[in-house]
Amino acid sequence: MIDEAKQDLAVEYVLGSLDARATGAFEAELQADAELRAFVDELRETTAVLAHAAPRVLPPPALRESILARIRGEAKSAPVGKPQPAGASPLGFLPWAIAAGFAITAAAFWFERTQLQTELKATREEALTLRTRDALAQVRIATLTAQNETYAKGTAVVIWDAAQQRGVVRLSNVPRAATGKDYQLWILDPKYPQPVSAGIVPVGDDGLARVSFTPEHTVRSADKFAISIEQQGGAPAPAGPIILIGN
Amino acid sequence: MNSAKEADRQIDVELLVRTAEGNEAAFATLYDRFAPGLFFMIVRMTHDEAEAEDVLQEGFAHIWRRAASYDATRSSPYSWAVMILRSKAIDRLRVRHRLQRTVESATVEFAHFPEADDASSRTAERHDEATHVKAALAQIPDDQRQAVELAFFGGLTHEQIAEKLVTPLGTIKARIRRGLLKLRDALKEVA
Repeated sequence: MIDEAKQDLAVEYVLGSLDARATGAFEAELQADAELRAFVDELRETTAVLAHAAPRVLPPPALRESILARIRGEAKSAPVGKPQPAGASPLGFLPWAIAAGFAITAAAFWFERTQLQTELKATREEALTLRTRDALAQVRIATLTAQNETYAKGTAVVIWDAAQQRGVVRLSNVPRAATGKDYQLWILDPKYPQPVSAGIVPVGDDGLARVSFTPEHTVRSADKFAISIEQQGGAPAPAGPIILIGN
Repeated sequence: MNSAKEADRQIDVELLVRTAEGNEAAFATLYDRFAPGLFFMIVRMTHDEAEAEDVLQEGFAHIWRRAASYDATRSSPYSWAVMILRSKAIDRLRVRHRLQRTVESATVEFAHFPEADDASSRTAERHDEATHVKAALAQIPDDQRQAVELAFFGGLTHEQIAEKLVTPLGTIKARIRRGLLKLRDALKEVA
């Protein structure tokens, strides 16, 4: 018998709500408890069924080609093996005609897709209205995205006031810079041949940073903001890898 | 499980077997069977079609690479794919939530700008499936369904749902657990 507290944990596990440590502990329990494992499998099937409740919309045809092109690139490194069959062995044949019968015509889903696009457009317009109403509408808010896997979970936001030539940068979930290195903020302005330094951004052990800055030179058009890894103390021009960039 | 559904599952299993062997045509067929349902699930989660396309691409690349790890004794291929894609979408949502918090926090700070700083700075069968799911969902009390949907489509943790609905955490946990167990039982009834 699985008590309610354990059932709650199982639900959170299946929904992906547990943190890494709790997930590890729960998976260890799963290994040793067949009843719990069966309960989790059942919950997983039940939960996945919720996806059927969503309307069906064809993704763009180009996306299919893009995914197939991507896996072709990975074909040589793809692991070769067989999935674990459930009891009876998998079919020795494949009814491709049946599979083809499942192909969904774009027309059948055109209406749903159009509806969805209308909803998305309305949401974007609402967001724009809210932003316009914001008292800080004149202030530029730039979100920087990671340029490699190490920083994939990192977030960086720059608030930039061009009129006052000052800003604030906040980083979160960014690992502390390696010994002898510093993170440095740059502003890309076409007026200058090199990015303009906006100073060092020290990141603490908690992966957070919050720094206010003024650029080294007057910035006329801040096209982009970037953060690179430079020698300790900073560099006059970017020499290290850019880890986060955006506008 | 009715025979049509079981045959359907067997087809998906076989497609996964062939995908694990590096068969691109099998993978493409699997994509055609799963992508429409999964795509809207992700759009509903992310509220962003472009981001949903990225998630779909990442998820199917993962399916291609990890097809050999699929265990048919534990889930149907479709459920396995749902969990993979949902997990990818949740990763995105969490980064986005962090980003929103960062923007909010940075904006507040900017309003109190300091002078200087120390540092510078699938379809008939599947259509029937949808009908069954909707019928099963209709049997769940509204408050439980709402909590389950926030957890599944919103990618919110129990704590975040409790905060959003201004309801004690224990109540939210009970609603989601009871909602999912009722859904499980209801699905058995309508099947």
